[in-house]
Amino acid sequence: MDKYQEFGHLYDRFIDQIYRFIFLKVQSSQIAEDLTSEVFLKIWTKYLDKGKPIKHPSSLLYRTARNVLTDYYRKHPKKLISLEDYPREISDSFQKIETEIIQEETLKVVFNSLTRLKEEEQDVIIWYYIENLSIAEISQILNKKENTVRVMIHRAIQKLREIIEKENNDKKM
Amino acid sequence: MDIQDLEKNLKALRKITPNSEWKKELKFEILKEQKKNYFEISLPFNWTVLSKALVLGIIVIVALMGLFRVEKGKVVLLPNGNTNYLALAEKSLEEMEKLAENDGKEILIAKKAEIEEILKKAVETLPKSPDNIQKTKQIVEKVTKINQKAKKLQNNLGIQIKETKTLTSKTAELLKNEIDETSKKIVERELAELKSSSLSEEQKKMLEKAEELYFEGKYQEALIKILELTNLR
Repeated sequence: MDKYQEFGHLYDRFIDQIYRFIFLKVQSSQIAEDLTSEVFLKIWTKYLDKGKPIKHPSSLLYRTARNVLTDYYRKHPKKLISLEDYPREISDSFQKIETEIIQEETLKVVFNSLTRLKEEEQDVIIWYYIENLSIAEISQILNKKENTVRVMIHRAIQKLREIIEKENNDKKM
Repeated sequence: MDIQDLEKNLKALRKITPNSEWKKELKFEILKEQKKNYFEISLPFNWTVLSKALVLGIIVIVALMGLFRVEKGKVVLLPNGNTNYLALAEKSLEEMEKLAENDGKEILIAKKAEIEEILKKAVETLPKSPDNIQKTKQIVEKVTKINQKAKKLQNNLGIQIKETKTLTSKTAELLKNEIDETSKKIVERELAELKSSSLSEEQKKMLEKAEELYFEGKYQEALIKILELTNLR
Protein backbone atom coordinates (compact mmCIF):
# COMPACT_ATOMS: atom_id res chain seq x y z
CA MET A 1 0.00 0.00 0.00
CA ASP A 2 1.57 3.34 -0.98
CA LYS A 3 1.18 6.55 1.00
CA TYR A 4 -1.68 7.79 -1.19
CA GLN A 5 -3.65 4.60 -0.64
CA GLU A 6 -2.86 4.74 3.08
CA PHE A 7 -4.20 8.27 3.21
CA GLY A 8 -7.31 7.16 1.33
CA HIS A 9 -8.00 4.41 3.88
CA LEU A 10 -7.42 6.73 6.83
CA TYR A 11 -9.62 9.40 5.29
CA ASP A 12 -12.50 7.05 4.53
CA ARG A 13 -12.35 5.56 8.00
CA PHE A 14 -12.25 8.78 10.02
CA ILE A 15 -13.68 11.65 7.99
CA ASP A 16 -17.21 11.39 9.44
CA GLN A 17 -15.95 11.16 13.03
CA ILE A 18 -13.58 14.10 12.78
CA TYR A 19 -16.15 16.27 10.96
CA ARG A 20 -18.78 15.44 13.60
CA PHE A 21 -16.35 16.14 16.46
CA ILE A 22 -15.61 19.59 15.04
CA PHE A 23 -19.18 20.34 13.96
CA LEU A 24 -20.56 19.61 17.45
CA LYS A 25 -18.19 22.23 18.81
CA VAL A 26 -18.28 24.99 16.19
CA GLN A 27 -21.98 24.54 15.29
CA SER A 28 -21.43 25.42 11.66
CA SER A 29 -21.03 23.03 8.76
CA GLN A 30 -19.00 25.57 6.78
CA ILE A 31 -16.45 26.06 9.57
CA ALA A 32 -16.47 22.33 10.35
CA GLU A 33 -15.63 21.58 6.73
CA ASP A 34 -12.74 24.08 6.72
CA LEU A 35 -11.26 22.82 9.98
CA THR A 36 -11.69 19.16 9.03
CA SER A 37 -9.79 19.85 5.80
CA GLU A 38 -7.01 21.39 7.89
CA VAL A 39 -6.82 18.29 10.11
CA PHE A 40 -6.44 15.87 7.21
CA LEU A 41 -4.01 18.12 5.39
CA LYS A 42 -1.83 18.27 8.53
CA ILE A 43 -1.91 14.48 8.87
CA TRP A 44 -0.85 14.18 5.25
CA THR A 45 1.99 16.71 5.36
CA LYS A 46 3.35 15.84 8.80
CA TYR A 47 3.08 12.07 8.66
CA LEU A 48 2.02 10.19 5.54
CA ASP A 49 3.88 12.32 3.00
CA LYS A 50 7.08 11.95 5.05
CA GLY A 51 6.55 8.21 5.41
CA LYS A 52 6.19 8.47 9.22
CA PRO A 53 4.20 5.55 10.58
CA ILE A 54 0.92 6.25 12.39
CA LYS A 55 0.49 3.84 15.29
CA HIS A 56 -2.80 5.11 16.71
CA PRO A 57 -4.67 6.95 13.94
CA SER A 58 -7.80 7.72 15.96
CA SER A 59 -5.75 9.26 18.77
CA LEU A 60 -3.57 11.26 16.36
CA LEU A 61 -6.56 12.60 14.41
CA TYR A 62 -8.48 13.70 17.50
CA ARG A 63 -5.40 15.35 18.98
CA THR A 64 -4.81 17.20 15.73
CA ALA A 65 -8.47 18.22 15.62
CA ARG A 66 -8.21 19.58 19.17
CA ASN A 67 -5.14 21.64 18.22
CA VAL A 68 -6.86 22.98 15.12
CA LEU A 69 -9.88 23.93 17.23
CA THR A 70 -7.66 25.66 19.81
CA ASP A 71 -6.03 27.73 17.04
CA TYR A 72 -9.46 28.55 15.65
CA TYR A 73 -10.83 29.71 19.03
CA ARG A 74 -7.74 31.86 19.52
CA LYS A 75 -8.70 33.86 16.44
CA HIS A 76 -12.48 33.51 16.82
CA PRO A 77 -13.52 33.56 20.48
CA LYS A 78 -16.33 31.14 21.21
CA LYS A 79 -19.88 32.54 21.14
CA LEU A 80 -22.77 30.65 22.65
CA ILE A 81 -25.88 30.55 20.47
CA SER A 82 -29.31 30.69 22.08
CA LEU A 83 -31.84 28.06 21.04
CA GLU A 84 -33.97 30.66 19.27
CA ASP A 85 -31.09 31.80 17.09
CA TYR A 86 -30.06 28.39 15.88
CA PRO A 87 -28.90 28.37 12.27
CA ARG A 88 -31.34 26.83 9.80
CA GLU A 89 -28.78 24.20 8.70
CA ILE A 90 -28.62 22.76 12.21
CA SER A 91 -32.41 22.57 12.51
CA ASP A 92 -32.45 20.85 9.11
CA SER A 93 -29.89 18.25 10.14
CA PHE A 94 -31.83 17.54 13.34
CA GLN A 95 -35.05 17.11 11.41
CA LYS A 96 -33.33 14.34 9.46
CA ILE A 97 -32.32 12.58 12.68
CA GLU A 98 -35.76 12.91 14.32
CA THR A 99 -37.55 9.62 15.08
CA GLU A 100 -40.52 8.58 17.22
CA ILE A 101 -38.26 8.48 20.27
CA ILE A 102 -35.86 11.29 19.40
CA GLN A 103 -37.53 14.68 19.05
CA GLU A 104 -35.94 17.54 17.16
CA GLU A 105 -36.54 19.99 20.01
CA THR A 106 -34.93 17.68 22.60
CA LEU A 107 -31.94 17.16 20.31
CA LYS A 108 -31.49 20.89 20.01
CA VAL A 109 -31.51 21.26 23.80
CA VAL A 110 -28.96 18.43 24.21
CA PHE A 111 -26.75 19.82 21.46
CA ASN A 112 -26.97 23.34 22.81
CA SER A 113 -26.26 22.24 26.37
CA LEU A 114 -23.27 20.22 25.19
CA THR A 115 -21.67 23.40 23.83
CA ARG A 116 -22.01 24.97 27.29
CA LEU A 117 -19.65 22.44 28.84
CA LYS A 118 -15.91 23.03 29.11
CA GLU A 119 -13.94 21.84 26.07
CA GLU A 120 -12.53 18.75 27.74
CA GLU A 121 -15.94 17.82 29.14
CA GLN A 122 -17.44 18.11 25.66
CA ASP A 123 -14.63 15.96 24.29
CA VAL A 124 -15.18 13.06 26.66
CA ILE A 125 -18.97 13.13 26.13
CA ILE A 126 -18.56 13.12 22.35
CA TRP A 127 -15.99 10.33 22.39
CA TYR A 128 -17.68 8.11 24.93
CA TYR A 129 -21.38 8.55 24.25
CA ILE A 130 -21.51 9.62 20.63
CA GLU A 131 -18.49 7.92 19.04
CA ASN A 132 -18.44 4.86 21.33
CA LEU A 133 -14.71 5.14 22.02
CA SER A 134 -13.46 2.96 24.86
CA ILE A 135 -12.07 4.38 28.10
CA ALA A 136 -8.64 3.08 27.02
CA GLU A 137 -8.85 4.97 23.71
CA ILE A 138 -9.93 8.18 25.42
CA SER A 139 -7.16 7.88 27.99
CA GLN A 140 -4.70 7.51 25.12
CA ILE A 141 -5.95 10.67 23.40
CA LEU A 142 -5.93 12.70 26.60
CA ASN A 143 -2.79 11.05 27.95
CA LYS A 144 -4.55 10.51 31.27
CA LYS A 145 -5.09 7.46 33.46
CA GLU A 146 -8.18 5.37 32.72
CA ASN A 147 -9.61 6.00 36.21
CA THR A 148 -9.21 9.73 35.73
CA VAL A 149 -11.09 9.45 32.42
CA ARG A 150 -13.92 7.48 34.09
CA VAL A 151 -14.33 10.23 36.68
CA MET A 152 -14.23 12.92 33.97
CA ILE A 153 -16.97 11.17 31.97
CA HIS A 154 -19.14 10.72 35.06
CA ARG A 155 -18.81 14.38 36.07
CA ALA A 156 -19.34 15.64 32.53
CA ILE A 157 -22.56 13.68 31.97
CA GLN A 158 -23.94 14.81 35.34
CA LYS A 159 -23.10 18.40 34.50
CA LEU A 160 -24.71 18.07 31.08
CA ARG A 161 -27.83 16.69 32.69
CA GLU A 162 -27.97 19.63 35.11
CA ILE A 163 -27.61 22.16 32.27
CA ILE A 164 -30.43 20.44 30.36
CA GLU A 165 -32.67 20.46 33.45
CA LYS A 166 -31.98 24.16 33.95
CA GLU A 167 -32.71 24.83 30.28
CA ASN A 168 -36.00 22.95 30.49
CA ASN A 169 -37.00 24.73 33.70
CA ASP A 170 -36.20 28.13 32.17
CA LYS A 171 -38.40 27.24 29.23
CA LYS A 172 -41.34 26.34 31.47
CA MET A 173 -41.06 29.65 33.30
CA MET B 1 -34.44 13.86 31.38
CA ASP B 2 -32.88 10.74 32.88
CA ILE B 3 -29.42 9.45 31.94
CA GLN B 4 -30.82 6.79 29.60
CA ASP B 5 -32.80 9.34 27.59
CA LEU B 6 -29.80 11.61 27.53
CA GLU B 7 -27.63 8.78 26.20
CA LYS B 8 -30.19 8.01 23.48
CA ASN B 9 -30.21 11.63 22.38
CA LEU B 10 -26.45 11.81 22.42
CA LYS B 11 -26.22 8.63 20.33
CA ALA B 12 -28.65 10.15 17.85
CA LEU B 13 -26.14 12.95 17.23
CA ARG B 14 -23.94 10.28 15.62
CA LYS B 15 -26.17 10.60 12.59
CA ILE B 16 -24.65 13.98 11.82
CA THR B 17 -22.47 13.40 8.78
CA PRO B 18 -20.72 15.70 6.34
CA ASN B 19 -22.05 16.37 2.87
CA SER B 20 -21.04 13.40 0.71
CA GLU B 21 -20.02 15.58 -2.25
CA TRP B 22 -17.78 17.67 -0.03
CA LYS B 23 -16.22 14.52 1.41
CA LYS B 24 -15.39 13.23 -2.03
CA GLU B 25 -14.06 16.58 -3.25
CA LEU B 26 -11.84 17.13 -0.22
CA LYS B 27 -10.12 13.77 -0.59
CA PHE B 28 -9.65 14.46 -4.28
CA GLU B 29 -8.28 17.96 -3.64
CA ILE B 30 -5.79 16.92 -0.95
CA LEU B 31 -4.39 14.10 -3.06
CA LYS B 32 -4.46 16.15 -6.25
CA GLU B 33 -2.45 18.90 -4.61
CA GLN B 34 0.17 16.39 -3.54
CA LYS B 35 0.37 14.62 -6.85
CA LYS B 36 0.16 17.52 -9.25
CA ASN B 37 3.93 17.68 -9.64
CA TYR B 38 3.84 14.34 -11.37
CA PHE B 39 1.57 15.77 -14.02
CA GLU B 40 3.69 18.82 -14.61
CA ILE B 41 6.66 16.80 -15.81
CA SER B 42 7.06 17.30 -19.52
CA LEU B 43 8.21 14.19 -21.25
CA PRO B 44 10.55 14.03 -24.20
CA PHE B 45 8.25 11.60 -26.05
CA ASN B 46 5.76 12.07 -28.80
CA TRP B 47 2.35 10.40 -28.65
CA THR B 48 3.23 7.44 -30.90
CA VAL B 49 6.16 6.50 -28.71
CA LEU B 50 3.98 6.92 -25.64
CA SER B 51 1.31 4.66 -27.06
CA LYS B 52 3.93 2.01 -27.53
CA ALA B 53 5.16 2.58 -23.99
CA LEU B 54 1.60 2.21 -22.77
CA VAL B 55 1.11 -1.04 -24.63
CA LEU B 56 4.46 -2.29 -23.37
CA GLY B 57 3.51 -1.33 -19.82
CA ILE B 58 0.26 -3.23 -20.09
CA ILE B 59 2.10 -6.26 -21.40
CA VAL B 60 4.37 -6.12 -18.34
CA ILE B 61 1.35 -5.96 -16.05
CA VAL B 62 -0.48 -8.74 -17.84
CA ALA B 63 2.67 -10.85 -17.73
CA LEU B 64 2.94 -10.26 -14.00
CA MET B 65 -0.73 -10.90 -13.48
CA GLY B 66 -0.35 -14.13 -15.38
CA LEU B 67 1.72 -15.45 -12.52
CA PHE B 68 -1.32 -15.93 -10.36
CA ARG B 69 -4.96 -16.82 -10.68
CA VAL B 70 -7.88 -16.15 -8.40
CA GLU B 71 -9.60 -19.22 -7.03
CA LYS B 72 -12.69 -18.78 -4.85
CA GLY B 73 -11.62 -15.26 -3.99
CA LYS B 74 -8.10 -16.30 -2.97
CA VAL B 75 -4.92 -15.56 -4.85
CA VAL B 76 -3.18 -18.79 -5.81
CA LEU B 77 0.31 -18.77 -7.22
CA LEU B 78 0.63 -20.66 -10.47
CA PRO B 79 3.34 -23.25 -11.17
CA ASN B 80 5.82 -21.45 -12.99
CA GLY B 81 12.35 -15.63 -5.62
CA ASN B 82 15.34 -14.52 -4.59
CA THR B 83 16.60 -14.72 -1.04
CA ASN B 84 18.91 -17.40 0.22
CA TYR B 85 16.19 -18.46 2.62
CA LEU B 86 13.84 -19.35 -0.22
CA ALA B 87 16.50 -21.47 -1.90
CA LEU B 88 17.37 -23.05 1.44
CA ALA B 89 13.71 -23.85 2.15
CA GLU B 90 13.33 -25.50 -1.24
CA LYS B 91 16.47 -27.59 -0.72
CA SER B 92 15.39 -28.59 2.79
CA LEU B 93 12.02 -29.77 1.52
CA GLU B 94 13.81 -31.98 -0.99
CA GLU B 95 16.03 -33.35 1.77
CA MET B 96 13.01 -34.08 3.92
CA GLU B 97 11.56 -36.26 1.21
CA LYS B 98 14.78 -38.32 1.15
CA LEU B 99 14.89 -38.52 4.95
CA ALA B 100 11.36 -39.90 4.98
CA GLU B 101 12.54 -42.84 2.90
CA ASN B 102 15.41 -43.78 5.19
CA ASP B 103 15.07 -42.27 8.67
CA GLY B 104 12.75 -42.21 11.65
CA LYS B 105 9.92 -39.98 12.82
CA GLU B 106 12.08 -37.91 15.26
CA ILE B 107 14.40 -36.77 12.48
CA LEU B 108 11.41 -35.81 10.35
CA ILE B 109 9.93 -33.70 13.17
CA ALA B 110 13.26 -31.94 13.69
CA LYS B 111 13.58 -31.30 9.95
CA LYS B 112 10.02 -29.94 9.79
CA ALA B 113 10.82 -27.48 12.60
CA GLU B 114 14.00 -26.44 10.78
CA ILE B 115 12.08 -25.83 7.53
CA GLU B 116 9.41 -23.78 9.29
CA GLU B 117 12.14 -21.65 10.86
CA ILE B 118 13.77 -21.09 7.46
CA LEU B 119 10.39 -20.17 5.97
CA LYS B 120 9.78 -17.68 8.78
CA LYS B 121 13.12 -16.04 7.95
CA ALA B 122 12.18 -16.10 4.26
CA VAL B 123 8.93 -14.25 5.07
CA GLU B 124 10.85 -11.70 7.18
CA THR B 125 13.35 -11.05 4.40
CA LEU B 126 10.77 -10.56 1.64
CA PRO B 127 10.93 -6.99 0.30
CA LYS B 128 8.51 -4.80 2.23
CA SER B 129 7.64 -2.73 -0.80
CA PRO B 130 7.89 -3.28 -4.56
CA ASP B 131 11.53 -3.36 -5.56
CA ASN B 132 11.76 -4.45 -9.16
CA ILE B 133 9.65 -6.61 -11.41
CA GLN B 134 12.37 -9.17 -12.17
CA LYS B 135 13.08 -9.72 -8.49
CA THR B 136 9.39 -10.15 -7.70
CA LYS B 137 9.04 -12.58 -10.59
CA GLN B 138 11.92 -14.67 -9.21
CA ILE B 139 10.39 -14.71 -5.74
CA VAL B 140 7.04 -15.81 -7.14
CA GLU B 141 8.67 -18.66 -9.07
CA LYS B 142 10.62 -19.82 -6.03
CA VAL B 143 7.56 -19.71 -3.75
CA THR B 144 5.59 -21.67 -6.31
CA LYS B 145 8.22 -24.43 -6.27
CA ILE B 146 8.23 -24.45 -2.46
CA ASN B 147 4.45 -24.77 -2.46
CA GLN B 148 4.57 -27.66 -4.90
CA LYS B 149 7.15 -29.52 -2.79
CA ALA B 150 5.26 -28.84 0.44
CA LYS B 151 2.06 -30.11 -1.18
CA LYS B 152 3.85 -33.26 -2.30
CA LEU B 153 5.10 -33.86 1.26
CA GLN B 154 1.62 -33.42 2.61
CA ASN B 155 0.11 -35.82 0.08
CA ASN B 156 2.78 -38.51 0.40
CA LEU B 157 3.73 -38.30 4.09
CA GLY B 158 0.91 -36.31 5.69
CA ILE B 159 3.39 -33.66 6.88
CA GLN B 160 1.94 -30.17 6.80
CA ILE B 161 4.31 -27.21 6.62
CA LYS B 162 2.05 -24.45 7.90
CA GLU B 163 4.44 -21.57 7.28
CA THR B 164 4.00 -21.91 3.50
CA LYS B 165 0.57 -20.25 3.83
CA THR B 166 2.10 -17.08 5.31
CA LEU B 167 4.82 -17.12 2.69
CA THR B 168 2.24 -17.45 -0.10
CA SER B 169 0.00 -14.67 1.18
CA LYS B 170 2.96 -12.31 1.74
CA THR B 171 4.28 -13.06 -1.74
CA ALA B 172 0.83 -12.49 -3.26
CA GLU B 173 0.71 -9.14 -1.41
CA LEU B 174 4.14 -8.21 -2.76
CA LEU B 175 3.04 -9.14 -6.26
CA LYS B 176 -0.13 -7.06 -5.98
CA ASN B 177 1.91 -4.07 -4.77
CA GLU B 178 4.35 -4.55 -7.64
CA ILE B 179 1.47 -4.51 -10.13
CA ASP B 180 0.01 -1.43 -8.42
CA GLU B 181 3.37 0.36 -8.52
CA THR B 182 3.93 -0.45 -12.19
CA SER B 183 0.39 0.62 -13.10
CA LYS B 184 0.83 3.81 -11.08
CA LYS B 185 3.98 4.82 -12.95
CA ILE B 186 2.36 4.18 -16.33
CA VAL B 187 -0.79 6.10 -15.38
CA GLU B 188 1.26 9.07 -14.14
CA ARG B 189 3.18 9.19 -17.42
CA GLU B 190 0.07 8.89 -19.53
CA LEU B 191 -1.89 11.49 -17.57
CA ALA B 192 0.99 13.94 -17.90
CA GLU B 193 1.01 13.50 -21.66
CA LEU B 194 -2.75 13.51 -22.13
CA LYS B 195 -3.09 16.72 -20.15
CA SER B 196 -1.01 18.56 -22.73
CA SER B 197 -2.81 16.95 -25.70
CA SER B 198 -5.86 18.33 -27.46
CA LEU B 199 -8.86 16.21 -26.50
CA SER B 200 -12.54 16.10 -27.39
CA GLU B 201 -15.13 16.84 -24.69
CA GLU B 202 -15.82 13.13 -24.27
CA GLN B 203 -12.11 12.41 -23.90
CA LYS B 204 -11.73 15.23 -21.38
CA LYS B 205 -14.46 13.67 -19.24
CA MET B 206 -12.76 10.29 -19.46
CA LEU B 207 -9.44 11.87 -18.55
CA GLU B 208 -11.07 13.47 -15.51
CA LYS B 209 -12.45 10.08 -14.49
CA ALA B 210 -9.04 8.44 -15.01
CA GLU B 211 -7.47 11.13 -12.84
CA GLU B 212 -10.08 10.57 -10.14
CA LEU B 213 -9.42 6.82 -10.17
CA TYR B 214 -5.70 7.54 -9.92
CA PHE B 215 -6.20 9.74 -6.86
CA GLU B 216 -8.25 7.00 -5.26
CA GLY B 217 -5.32 4.61 -5.74
CA LYS B 218 -7.22 2.55 -8.33
CA TYR B 219 -4.33 2.51 -10.76
CA GLN B 220 -5.40 -0.41 -12.90
CA GLU B 221 -8.90 0.99 -13.36
CA ALA B 222 -7.34 4.35 -14.28
CA LEU B 223 -5.19 2.59 -16.84
CA ILE B 224 -8.22 0.94 -18.42
CA LYS B 225 -9.95 4.33 -18.59
CA ILE B 226 -6.89 5.78 -20.36
CA LEU B 227 -6.96 2.89 -22.83
CA GLU B 228 -10.61 3.56 -23.59
CA LEU B 229 -9.79 7.23 -24.02
CA THR B 230 -6.95 6.57 -26.42
CA ASN B 231 -9.19 4.28 -28.50
CA LEU B 232 -11.33 7.32 -29.26
CA ARG B 233 -8.42 9.17 -30.80
